[in-house]
Amino acid sequence: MTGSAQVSQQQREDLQMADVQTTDVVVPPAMENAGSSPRFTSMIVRRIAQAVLLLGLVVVLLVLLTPGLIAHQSPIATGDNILTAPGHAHLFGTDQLGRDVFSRVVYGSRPVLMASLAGVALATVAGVAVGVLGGFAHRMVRALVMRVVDVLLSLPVLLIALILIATVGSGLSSIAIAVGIAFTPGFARVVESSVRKLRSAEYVQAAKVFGSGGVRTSFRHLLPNLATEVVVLISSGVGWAVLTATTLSFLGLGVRLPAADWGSDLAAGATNLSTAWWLSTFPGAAISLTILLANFLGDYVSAVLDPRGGLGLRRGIRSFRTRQKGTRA
Amino acid sequence: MSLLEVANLRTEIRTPDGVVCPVDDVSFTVAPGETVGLVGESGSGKTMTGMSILRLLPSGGSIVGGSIRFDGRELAELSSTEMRRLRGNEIAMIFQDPMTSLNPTRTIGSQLREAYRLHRDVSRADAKRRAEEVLGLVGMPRPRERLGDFPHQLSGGMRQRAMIAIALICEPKLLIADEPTTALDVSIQAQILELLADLKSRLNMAILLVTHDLGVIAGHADRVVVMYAGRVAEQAGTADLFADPRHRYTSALFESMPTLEMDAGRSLAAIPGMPPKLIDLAPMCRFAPRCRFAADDCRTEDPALVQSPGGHQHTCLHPRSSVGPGPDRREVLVRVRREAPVSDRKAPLLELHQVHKAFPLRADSALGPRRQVHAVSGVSLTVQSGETVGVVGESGCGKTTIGRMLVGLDRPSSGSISFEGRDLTTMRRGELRHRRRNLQIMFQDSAAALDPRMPVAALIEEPLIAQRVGTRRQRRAEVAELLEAVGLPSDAGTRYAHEFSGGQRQRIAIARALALKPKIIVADEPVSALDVSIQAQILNLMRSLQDRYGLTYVVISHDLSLLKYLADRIGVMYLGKLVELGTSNEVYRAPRHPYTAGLIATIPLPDPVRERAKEESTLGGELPSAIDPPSGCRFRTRCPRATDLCAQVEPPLQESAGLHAVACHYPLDVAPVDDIAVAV
Repeated sequence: MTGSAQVSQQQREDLQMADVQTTDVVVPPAMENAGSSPRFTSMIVRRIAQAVLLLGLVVVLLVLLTPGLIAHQSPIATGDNILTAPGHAHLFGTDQLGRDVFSRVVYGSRPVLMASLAGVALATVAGVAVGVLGGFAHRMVRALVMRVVDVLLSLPVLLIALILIATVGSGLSSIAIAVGIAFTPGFARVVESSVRKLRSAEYVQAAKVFGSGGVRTSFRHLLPNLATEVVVLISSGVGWAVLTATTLSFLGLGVRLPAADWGSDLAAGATNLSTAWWLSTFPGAAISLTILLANFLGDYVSAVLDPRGGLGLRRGIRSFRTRQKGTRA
Repeated sequence: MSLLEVANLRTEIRTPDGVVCPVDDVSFTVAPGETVGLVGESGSGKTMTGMSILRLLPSGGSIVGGSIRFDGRELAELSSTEMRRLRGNEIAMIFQDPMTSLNPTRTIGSQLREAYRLHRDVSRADAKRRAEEVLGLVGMPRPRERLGDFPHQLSGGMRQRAMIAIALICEPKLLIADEPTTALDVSIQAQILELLADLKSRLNMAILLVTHDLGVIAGHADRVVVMYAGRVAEQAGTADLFADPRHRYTSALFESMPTLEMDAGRSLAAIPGMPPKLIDLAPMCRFAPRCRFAADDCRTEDPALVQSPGGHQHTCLHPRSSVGPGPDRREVLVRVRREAPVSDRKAPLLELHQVHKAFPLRADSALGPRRQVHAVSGVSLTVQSGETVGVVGESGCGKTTIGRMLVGLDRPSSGSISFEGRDLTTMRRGELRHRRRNLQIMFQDSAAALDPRMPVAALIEEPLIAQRVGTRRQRRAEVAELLEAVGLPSDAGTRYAHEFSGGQRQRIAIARALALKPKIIVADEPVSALDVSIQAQILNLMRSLQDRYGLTYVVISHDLSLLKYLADRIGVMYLGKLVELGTSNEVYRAPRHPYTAGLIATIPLPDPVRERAKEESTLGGELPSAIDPPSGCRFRTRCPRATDLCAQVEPPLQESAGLHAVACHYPLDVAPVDDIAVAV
């Protein structure tokens, strides 16, 4: 235990005294919807959110699995109509070589999404492992692990990626690994601090008192309660990873031309932005939408996972809220 | 002419689940210079009534009916600008927790000046002068220096004084004090309440004292309004109410409280059930479902306010009558006291020997000396099988650390803890883990102690799995039996802990602690987070389980009256030391340590006559720091009998002829200080 954790003993007692009659503390209820009919509006909002999320996910899956179903033109087939504005024949217009921008946006999602998802998966596994280790290990081990993490954190993501690509070579897998390495320390940091917080949670202490071993406690109590945090991490990580991956391909380190890719298309269109706005705008919009979707998804999943406010457990949430708001006066 | 006149006030809050009505048809008045107590359990609407007066309702809340007249003006109709001018100026409020109500990033002085200059057109210098004056008024030592302090630099009691100073700086006509002392230790609570009473008479200010604590009300309110489920249940002068409660709720509340005098052999007259949810209530007496005297009419009609002579009002259809004895429920509930624990000196079940625990503090600088907080310094205590030992003390006295060491959550820095003759501190981990099944703990906050992601059945089954007890089927049966034993419905197992109320959660925690059939259960503040009417249920349950399973309890609490009821023996702790140890009757009837006597004297009694007859609180000052505890006797800095000897020699905890153990050079039962000083 470090000093700070131990000083808290006294604070804890103070807190416990302060907690006498906690049930009486007035918590101004956080009322999401103070509108005319809260139950109704919040239900509509929730339904819309669910529909949008579902739609977004379906689109992403379709694009990843069968891009041909959506985009009928080949993304690399050049044509005679160069730089035509968005219209009936070409929904998003064409580029300098007469290629269909819509097809390129659809196909271009694949390298970006695959690289960032793989990268985040890598970072999640590594980050949670390092974080749990750091949170649980002996003080000296933790100090060592976390200082290494700190050093890694201080390196800019792009620098790590550039070093890796310079040594391994460019390509999708390099980008994925670069994203993974770059995101691991951040994940580890967050997980470590939650693990330490959870370790002193009373229910973890209670488990210790009835003789639950370290491994059992981690699987039964720590990991489930970490889940929410990890999901939020993953979703915001995906957002950032998409940004990182497109930046790398923007710099020409991603897929090789003429294959479609949001980052490289964005870069290619930038020179013609004054005459053909659609070249960069659509890949850019696709990037923004993907990041937004990732963040929304994270919020949604974390809400579902939380038994106290779980969208999946409506009965629970209702009785909880009533107790919180109704009887606290 | 009354200062504040609340008439038929109705406040509603919109929530996703419907319209909650925390204040329903509430009427009362406050005269200038009068203290009116607003008392009720959590959820009774007492705080919302206070908030309605200031129009500080949470979002979605609004006053939908009735009137609030203050000093001739109708507050419900004032514009928000006028209301803002009124708040803090003519009506001020102090909140429960001074730590969260003060801005941690600004000095006390600047917060005081802000409060003053918002309402008075004065220069900075004048505001500063006034701030200093008010800090002096609330008994803050060296007010000028304190002006530059930040809230975290002050102790809890001093912070509350600063809060009061901010509230009083504009000399309001009405002060709304919402649980002003609930977060404070008893000795500090007494100081703050005395301060409020003193300021009230000096400034001719009226106080609306919102609290759950009948003892606080008894000592300081002129009149009392008892609220239940959003309604006024009863309203009367303080002496009248305590001597002759009419409403069945009020009288049940009195009976459910453990007091210092009550015979520990009786069980408490708990009020069954829980307060109703305040949504869409049918017209009926809201207490009827929990009332032993409820008749059919209670369930079908809304009781009207009944006026009795002397301004005593109540809303009960079958009130407790003041003449002629009603059915005395106390007689019914007398319970045969379990066999007194065998107190012969056989081998104790648990023995603490000179236990120390110090927590290192982070050094101020890298090279600075390492300092330590001495949470527990040399405590020796034995626990016999089947008895209940209480440990009482103020916050920071080390009582929680003792509990944690007993169950092996902390290891003592030195000293030994033996259980059935085996030293736990030197035991190897594997064996300790196995032994743990005999030593279980109940935490204070059951919401935090129960994993939110597990259904209740899994929570209770967990200890059995961890200790590899029985087959799956046997464990299931065991869980069902435990749920039944703690009085939870059998379908409770499939739900999650947060779906239960505080009292029910504490039952779940008890069931889990019982699962391994432990010999000892350490209960850390088992009921302090619960309402009075629920407390009694849990205390009764703990005692009946003790009889049923032959448990030994170590109960840790700041509440001496609770321990007096629950414990066979009480140890009083002060700053890491045990200062007095004896049977609960001995400790309460004939306290030998001045600290214990002071502690007993500061407990607010729910009896206006005796509460007011008490002398001023004998525990002045505050708890010294456990980093550099005073030399010699640690209590000497607050002790009226302290002499030079106390500063030099630390008194050991020892018994003397026929009397219980005390650690004091001049125990209260021997000759006064002067004589001894001469003799020494």
